[in-house]
Amino acid sequence: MMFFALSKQAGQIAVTNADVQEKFPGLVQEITSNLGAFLPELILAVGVMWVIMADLFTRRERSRRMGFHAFAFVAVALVSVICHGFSGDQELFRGMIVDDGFGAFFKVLLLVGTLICIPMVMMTRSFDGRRMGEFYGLLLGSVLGMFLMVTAKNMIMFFLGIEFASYTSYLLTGYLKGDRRGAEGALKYVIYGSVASGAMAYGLSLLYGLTGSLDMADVAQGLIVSRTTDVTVLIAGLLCFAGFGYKIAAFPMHFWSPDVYEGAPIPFTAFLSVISKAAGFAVLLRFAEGMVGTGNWELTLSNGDVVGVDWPLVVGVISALTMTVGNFAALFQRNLKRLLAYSSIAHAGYLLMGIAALAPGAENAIPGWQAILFYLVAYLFMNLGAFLVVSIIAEKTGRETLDAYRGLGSRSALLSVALGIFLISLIGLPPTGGFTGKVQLIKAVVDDGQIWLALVAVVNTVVSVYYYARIIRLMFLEESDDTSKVPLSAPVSAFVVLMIVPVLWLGVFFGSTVDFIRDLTLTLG
Amino acid sequence: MSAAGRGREGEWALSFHAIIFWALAAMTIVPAIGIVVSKNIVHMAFWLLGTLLGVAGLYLHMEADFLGMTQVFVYIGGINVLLLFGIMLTNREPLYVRAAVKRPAIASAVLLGVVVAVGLIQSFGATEWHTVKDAVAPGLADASAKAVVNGDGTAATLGTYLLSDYILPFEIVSILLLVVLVGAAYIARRDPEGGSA
Amino acid sequence: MGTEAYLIVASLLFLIGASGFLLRRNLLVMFMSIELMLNGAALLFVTFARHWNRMDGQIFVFFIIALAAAEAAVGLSILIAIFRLKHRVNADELSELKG
Repeated sequence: MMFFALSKQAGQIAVTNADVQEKFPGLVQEITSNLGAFLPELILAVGVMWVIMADLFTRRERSRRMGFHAFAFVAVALVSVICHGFSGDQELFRGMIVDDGFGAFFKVLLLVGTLICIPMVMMTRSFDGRRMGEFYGLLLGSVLGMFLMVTAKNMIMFFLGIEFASYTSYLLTGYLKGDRRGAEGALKYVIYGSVASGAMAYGLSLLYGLTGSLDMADVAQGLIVSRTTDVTVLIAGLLCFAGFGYKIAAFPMHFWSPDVYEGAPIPFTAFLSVISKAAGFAVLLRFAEGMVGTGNWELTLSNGDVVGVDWPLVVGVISALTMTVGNFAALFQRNLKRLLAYSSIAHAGYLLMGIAALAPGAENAIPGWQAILFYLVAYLFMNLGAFLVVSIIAEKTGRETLDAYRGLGSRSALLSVALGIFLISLIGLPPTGGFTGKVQLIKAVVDDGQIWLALVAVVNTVVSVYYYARIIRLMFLEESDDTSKVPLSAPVSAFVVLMIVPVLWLGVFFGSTVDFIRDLTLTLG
Repeated sequence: MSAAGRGREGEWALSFHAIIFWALAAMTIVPAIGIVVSKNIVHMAFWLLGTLLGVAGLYLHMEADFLGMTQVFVYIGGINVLLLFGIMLTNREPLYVRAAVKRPAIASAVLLGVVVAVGLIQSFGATEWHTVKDAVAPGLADASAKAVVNGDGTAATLGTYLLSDYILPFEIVSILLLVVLVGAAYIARRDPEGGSA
Repeated sequence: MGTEAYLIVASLLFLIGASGFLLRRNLLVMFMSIELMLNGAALLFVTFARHWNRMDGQIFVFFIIALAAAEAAVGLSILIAIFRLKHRVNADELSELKG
């Protein structure tokens, strides 16, 4: 028994270097050779420690300069991802993570988003006089966690990446300690987040139990070969979805997001609503693709049996509920931050359509995951752009409510036109990236034969026009008592313009991006 | 000890194992119920201690000796003590996260929980849990390479794996602990920087 | 003991934790319930690790324990921050943010 084992162990405790060499020949060489492809993560890890350490040697009033350091690290990481290229096709660190085009694409997406968020943080005055080393350390740590999420192949890395990104997000939400809404948002975030990750751990353990492996490809294989069609697979899948759904704020795991989005500092709300969500979708996509192995949701075995739960229907229903809940709740919001929170729930619903349509039935159809990737690019720019304007207005007027936008058209042409473009893109009207992205998502589900889901999406889009257009009407058609101009410095104006360009570009010249996404590799082993 | 070894020990050992198992199971489940129904939060912390010890015992019973010890050190020595600190900080004015749950809601929730539990156990019973012997998937052929060396204790094997196959998560978790604890210290620190607090 | 017996214990632990989370409203009790759920999941992993005669399930549990410690630290630091802000906790609940 146990004690017997313990006492016996004493005589046999040493594992020598020779043992390791014998058991794992070439281990050290293998791991060092993998470090090259792991360079962006290493840069981020160094950056995390650098900003925390360098901040100790900086005077408090200069602490906000840590933003430049963080920006530099993120920029260098971005360069190293791009230099590494999008054609990787290998497993790293003994199958823990993969190096593929899909992962590289998401890394670029996350880093570009972070590059947009850091200047927003530096523009925010409520951070003035605070130590910012910890903030940027946590922010870079969060991005590092998401890097692991988007490249994970092993369930340990899925779990670890999600938890890394989550814990740092909990702390960043409550970073403004004096702010009661922030602290309460952080508290709700951590409690419900922990329970979601507990559920996910249980779901992952069931998958492990069913297949005997932690590797996603093995799990997929195991589920196919053992032909487990029973309830346990459904339970495991749904529990795992609880964890991933929490990250993307999908129904019914969405309830935290309005409170957290409203309580968090605006730049971090922007980060959560776009970057965190993109990483969540990457995990969900990889997991979904992994679960089905060959890219088909239902596998027909040689003897004609069809294996598996009807996942497209399950995801489709979740998608429809998510977008409906988000849009209808957004109708009644007075606070723009909260409105954007509900709108981002609705967008998670639109994006989930792509997962419901992972296996296109028709020839030359757009596979769901490519539509998701394109929409995420457009969503990155339009939603971050909207948050940028909200952040600028909140800085200038101190208000986040809709009243602050009354008559904005005559007070600042640039800001109102920019916000108008971002909102039109969020509605999904041409000539913006939101339109082309949504068309691809809807085409993907139509090709997959789920016409009802496409109809739900269209109806939801019509509903969403009401609350987005209300803001546009407020800005251009209503008069404000305060007619003073909103002063904008040249760099801030340039920043806003820089956000508009990609939104319009993706709406008009979308072909190159679509082609780029089509050529990405998705390695699952 | 392996299943085969257990088989050789015969009936007496089997029932002895069963007695130990059921004792540990009771030690795990009964305090867990105590946490949910108890009114006194300090009692709950000690109920939690019981559950955690029970789980540690179950780990040992499953020959996961290193994990059992880690469970005692980290969970009981760290997390449970942290929770006790939290209780001492907030004992007089507990922090409620939402409105009280009404009695009928509790009754229906308990009913639902029992139904879910029965359903779950039912579905587990119906599931065919494959084992290595069944050789389910070709991708799992390397299963034996990772098999536990029987009777030697798991510390050495675990350590070898943590520094070979699982070196990436092992390193990442250390960065995670660093970043998260620095951040936690920042949040918990008294704010000398003004602000409204 | 066979795998099924452990499965039942682990699932009961998880479900008790989940119901505690749903029924209780004291923050610390909710945290304890979360720990119960995590322990249920961890127990399941060890059970399956033994079932498959593999090590990786135990390694997952190793990480679950490390992450649970970090999670407890995060949760309590936010608890302290909020407690410092509120000083006196108002009678009902967190009310600043409304759904």
